[in-house]
Amino acid sequence: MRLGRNTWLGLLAALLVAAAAAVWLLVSGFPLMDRFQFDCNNTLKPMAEGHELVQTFVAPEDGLSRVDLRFYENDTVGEQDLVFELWDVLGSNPDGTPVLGEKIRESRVSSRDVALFWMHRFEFEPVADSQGKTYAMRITSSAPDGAALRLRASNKDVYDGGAVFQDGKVEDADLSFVLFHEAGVWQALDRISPFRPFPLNSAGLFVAVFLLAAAAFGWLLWYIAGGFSADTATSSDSRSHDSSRSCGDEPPPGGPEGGIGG
Amino acid sequence: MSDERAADYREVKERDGNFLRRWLFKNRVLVVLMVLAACVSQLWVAATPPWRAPDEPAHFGYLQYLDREQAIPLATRAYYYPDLFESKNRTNFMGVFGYPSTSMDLQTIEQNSAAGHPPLYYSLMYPAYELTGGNAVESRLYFMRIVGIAFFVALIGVAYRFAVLLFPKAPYFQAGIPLLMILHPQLAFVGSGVMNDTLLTLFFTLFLYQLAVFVIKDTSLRRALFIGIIMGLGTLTKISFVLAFPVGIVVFAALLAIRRDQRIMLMKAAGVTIGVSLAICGWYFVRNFAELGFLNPPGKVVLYNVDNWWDLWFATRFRAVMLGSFLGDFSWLTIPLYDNVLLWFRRLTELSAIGLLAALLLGLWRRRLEAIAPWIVTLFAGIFIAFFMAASQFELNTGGAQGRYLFPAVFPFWTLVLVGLTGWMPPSWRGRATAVVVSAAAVLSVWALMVEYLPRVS
Repeated sequence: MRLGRNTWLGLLAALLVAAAAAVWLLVSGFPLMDRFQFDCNNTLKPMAEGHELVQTFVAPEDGLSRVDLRFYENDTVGEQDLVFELWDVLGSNPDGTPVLGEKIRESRVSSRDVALFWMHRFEFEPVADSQGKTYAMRITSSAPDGAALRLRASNKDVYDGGAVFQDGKVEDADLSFVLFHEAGVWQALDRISPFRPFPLNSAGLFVAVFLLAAAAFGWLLWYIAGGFSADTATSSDSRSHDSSRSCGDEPPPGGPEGGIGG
Repeated sequence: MSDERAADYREVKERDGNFLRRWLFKNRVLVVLMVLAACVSQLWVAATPPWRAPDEPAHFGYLQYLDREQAIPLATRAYYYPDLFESKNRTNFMGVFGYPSTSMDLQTIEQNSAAGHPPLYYSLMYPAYELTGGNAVESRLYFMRIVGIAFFVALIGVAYRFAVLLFPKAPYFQAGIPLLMILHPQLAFVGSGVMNDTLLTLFFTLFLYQLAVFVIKDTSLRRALFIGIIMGLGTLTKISFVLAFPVGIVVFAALLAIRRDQRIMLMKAAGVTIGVSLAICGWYFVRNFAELGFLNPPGKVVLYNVDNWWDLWFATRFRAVMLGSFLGDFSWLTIPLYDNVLLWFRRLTELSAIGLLAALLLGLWRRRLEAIAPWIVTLFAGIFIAFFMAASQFELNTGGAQGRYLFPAVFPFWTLVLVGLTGWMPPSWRGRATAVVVSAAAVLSVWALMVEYLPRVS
C-alpha cells in the first residue's frame, strides 16, 4: 500500500509535535509541591515600611524553587513594592529568633500584581542542595502605615519545622505557605504511583499516552491549518466510487461559506 | 490528476475492500479527535488522586448504595458506608490541606449528598462496578473512572458531528470546536471523575444537535421522538437538564411563527417530544415526591450573603469564582489556575464577543463571508446565559454553584468563542487562525495538567 504525499505530511506533523512534546518533557523542570501549611484563619499585622516578617522552615527536598503565600486583601492606595527574600539560617538566638546567614534568593513584586484571590507565587532559581536545611523567608514592603498588605496565617503554632517572627518577636502562628522544589518528569510522575492499579500507576504508560495525544494533536493541527484542503480533494475523489459518505464529507449545501443560512 | 492526487486515489481504492479501513479513512478526523479525547481523559484519570474529582465520594457512594440496597436512593435517606471512610483515611483525603494523615471515624453517620441525583448515570456504570467486585475500593474507583472516559469520548464525537452540521464548508471549525473542548482543562478533569456531569453534557449536546437537525433538515415525527428520548434520558441523568425544556419550547415557538405551513406537524412533534420525555423521566420525580414530599431537599450554604442576582454578580466574587471553576480551578485539590491565566482567558472571551459581532456584521454585508448564521449565535448565546442564570439562582437558593454547572452549554460556548476569534477574518485566513487558537489552548491544557496539577497531587 502506498501512501500519498498529504498522508505523509499529516504523519510528519504528528511526529514533529510528538517529538517536541518528548523534548519538552525531558528538559523541563516541574515544580513539585513538598509542604502545604493550609491553615489560614488568622491575619498578621499589616506589613508597612520599616517592619519585617520572617517565617523559618525546613526544605524537605533539594531544588527549593518556589514559595506560595496567601495574602488577605489589598486595601492599599497606589503601588508599593513587596520584597521576598530567602535566607540561610545559621542557628537561633537565646530569645528564639533566627540567626540569619546569607541572603540566597530575592523576589520582588508590585502590590498591584499580588494574587489576592488565591496564593501568590514567589519563584526563584532552584537552590541545589536545600534538602533538610533550615531557611527563613523574610518579607518586607515599602507601604506606608495604614496602606499595607497583610499575610494570612494560622491562629496557633501548627507547623513543626519553624516559626513566624514579626519585627523580631515570635508569634503564636505560622504563615499559610506552600513549598515547591524543581524536579524532572520522572520524579513528577512518581506522584501517580500510589493507589492506582496497574497499569495506571505506570509512568511509562503516562508518557506514552501523552506522546500519543501530542501526535494526534499534531495531525489535527496540520488538518486545521490547511491540510483539510488536500483532504477534501482526496475525499471528493473517493466519493466518485462510493456513495456511503460520512457527514463530514458531504458536499456543502448552497448556503454561505462555512455557515448555514438563516 | 496530479501525481499526488493519483496516489491518494490509489490509496483509497486499495482500501475499498475493507469496510473498517474505508470507514476509518472517511472518518479520520472524528477518529483522531476521539483518540485524543481518550488520551487526555486517561491522563487526567491517572493524575487525579482517589476521591479528588468533585463530589466523587458521594457519586461512588451512590453506586455502593445501588449494589448493597438494590434500590434507587432517596435524598436525605442514603448514607455513606464505612469502607469509604476507611479509604479516605488510607489515601489521606485531608492531605490536600496539608495534613500528614486523615482520621475519620468509621462510625460517622453522614448523608450522601449525591442521593438526590436521578439514577441513569449510576445505572449505566453499575455493570462495570459489579465486574470489579473483590478488588480494593480504590481500584474499583479507578476502573469506574476508566469506564467513564467513554462518555467524554462520545461527547467529543457528538460535538464533531454537530460542528459538521453547523459548518459544512469550514473543516477548521468542525475540528477546532471539539478540539477546544478536549483541551478545556476543567472539562477534561471533570470528565475523568466518577460523576454524572459528563453524561449530562453529552445528552445536552446531543439534544442541541438533534434540535438543529430538526430545524435544518428533518422536521419529522421520528426526529421529534428521538429528541424526546434524549430529553427523557438527560433529565434522568441530572436535574439541571430540565433547561432543555424551555430551550426546546422557544425553538418550537420560533418555528411555529416562521413555518406557518407546518404548524400542525410542528404541534404534533412538540407533543411527541414532551410526551416521550416525560414518560421516560416522570416516574422518578413522582416517586420522589410521593416518598419525600419534596423534589429538592431543603438547606442552604450561605457563601455570599446576598439575595438577588444583581448583588450576586456585581457585589461579590461570584463571577470570578464561576470563571475560575469553569476554566480550571480543580477545587477539590485546592489547585487554582493562576490569576493571570484567568485574566487572559477573560480578555480573550471578551475579545471574541467583539469579534463575533464583527463576524455577524461581515456576514450581513457579504453573504459569502458569513462565518455563522445569526440564529445560531442567538440560540447559543441564549443557552449559555440561561445556564449562567440558572447557576446564579442555584447559588441564591442552595449555594455552592461552580463553573462546571455551565458545562452543558460548553459546545455553544466554544463555538461562539472560536467563531468570535477567527470568523471576522477573510475565509482563507480562518484555518490558520484557528490553528493558532487551538495551539494556545493546547499549551494551556498541557501546562494546567503537567505544571499546575500533577506536581501538586499526592
